[in-house]
Amino acid sequence: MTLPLAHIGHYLWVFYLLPVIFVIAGILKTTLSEKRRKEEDSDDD
Amino acid sequence: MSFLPFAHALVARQDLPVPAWLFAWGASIVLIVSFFALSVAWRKPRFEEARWRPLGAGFARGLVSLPMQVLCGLVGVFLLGVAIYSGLRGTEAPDRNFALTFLYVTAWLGFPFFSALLGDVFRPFNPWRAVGRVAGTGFRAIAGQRPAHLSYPEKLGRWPAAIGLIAVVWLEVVYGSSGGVAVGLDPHAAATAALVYSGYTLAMMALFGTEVWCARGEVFSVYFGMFSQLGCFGVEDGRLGYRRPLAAAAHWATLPGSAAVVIASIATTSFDGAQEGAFKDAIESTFNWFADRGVDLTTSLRLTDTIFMLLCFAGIGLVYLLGVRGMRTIRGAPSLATLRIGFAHTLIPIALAYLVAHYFSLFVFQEQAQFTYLLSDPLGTAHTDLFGTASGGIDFRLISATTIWYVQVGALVVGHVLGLTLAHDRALVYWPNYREASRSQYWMLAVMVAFTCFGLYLLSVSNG
Repeated sequence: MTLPLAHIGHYLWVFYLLPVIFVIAGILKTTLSEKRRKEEDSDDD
Repeated sequence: MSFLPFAHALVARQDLPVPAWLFAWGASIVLIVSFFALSVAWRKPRFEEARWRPLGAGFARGLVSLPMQVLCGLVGVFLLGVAIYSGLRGTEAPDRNFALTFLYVTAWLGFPFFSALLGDVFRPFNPWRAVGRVAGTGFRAIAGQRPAHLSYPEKLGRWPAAIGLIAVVWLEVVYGSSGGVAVGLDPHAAATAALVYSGYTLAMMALFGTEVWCARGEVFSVYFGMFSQLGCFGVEDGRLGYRRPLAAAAHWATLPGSAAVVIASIATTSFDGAQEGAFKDAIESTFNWFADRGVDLTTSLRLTDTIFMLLCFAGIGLVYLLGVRGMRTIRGAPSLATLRIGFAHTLIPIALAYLVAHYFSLFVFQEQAQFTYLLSDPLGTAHTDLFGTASGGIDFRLISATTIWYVQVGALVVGHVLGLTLAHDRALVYWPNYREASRSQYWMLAVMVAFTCFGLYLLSVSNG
């Protein structure tokens, strides 16, 4: 069976977008966890 | 003799060991590692002071002496004159006429490259500055007083240069490529534009003063001067000296409109790279939309290209503003306006990286033409052979497509790592606590990764 990959070239831009998405996701995750930790610290005080 | 089709950048399919998109992943990893290395090891700002030191007396003084300035000015005026004369009187074949290669390759691409390495090498050769200075000196000698100039509206800052920069590139890649042939601007139009620009520049210099206009509105002085801030040589108080590389850039963007200049540089290069590649389908659709509504074909094409060039400017500006906006979320952040101005210089290495990546091959190949047959036969009439090199040609085997690709990737990675370094250094000024400074740069990291991947995507589509 042949995979329907004739038009895959049109979607190669997704591979270039993925690193940007990973970095933004990492930033959001880090920012949120830092915010949560700060809130927990202020609650403890 | 081989002829070069005067395209904006030479493209060819490379023979790569892995898919091109993997290079974007690799470059992103390099940026992330650099970011963490900076966070750990770079805890105090180092670029706020350029640490300029004068160079040894004799040679350095000779380089900036008045006779040398006069000589360089004369060379600049002579070369501009040759370019204009060749454009007006020479052949209409763009690849055979001295004017286009000299104006749009040797000068437009050469000065940024060399300025970034050495400092402001354009300033002594600037033909309009040379004429302006001579006119000012003549006026003082005759009238016995300094010319009375208008005070420059400081709010305008470098905006005239930013708009002029877009106009210069627009002339070549939009106006020039809209004639239905893939040869770019015709030499006559380029020479006419150079004449019009000369008149405009000299008039502005008469109004506001030569040095004031060169620092703010003269497109080429501002544009090449921007790259020279990365270089390690600079002139202070009429003396040539050595300074810390990149450090002069730290205080370049204080004038309004500076960010627009550097964003315009990245945007116009991006548009030129995307015009025949990544944006091709969208440009065709928009062109058809205009053509279907009765707009004539040339106008439709120019209108479409203009819209996409402006969209590139808006898009690059927006990504930068998002990065800056992200910094505002960090405690103790200065105002948005301060951040917007304060980090604009971090885009200069990226603008240079985009230039190298997109035009390196064009520069290497076309300079062979410049220094062989175009120099010997500037008009391209085949009747002159001034230096005996009129029968020379271009050796396209000088660099392979694969080598070009690695230079492009290398330029983009190095440019963005330098941008990150400048941004981290500036963050340490606003947030003396290095942990907060590093945290503030999360979003600039995203901006740098986005610009790197976008640049590599444009190149991969153009090359594919």
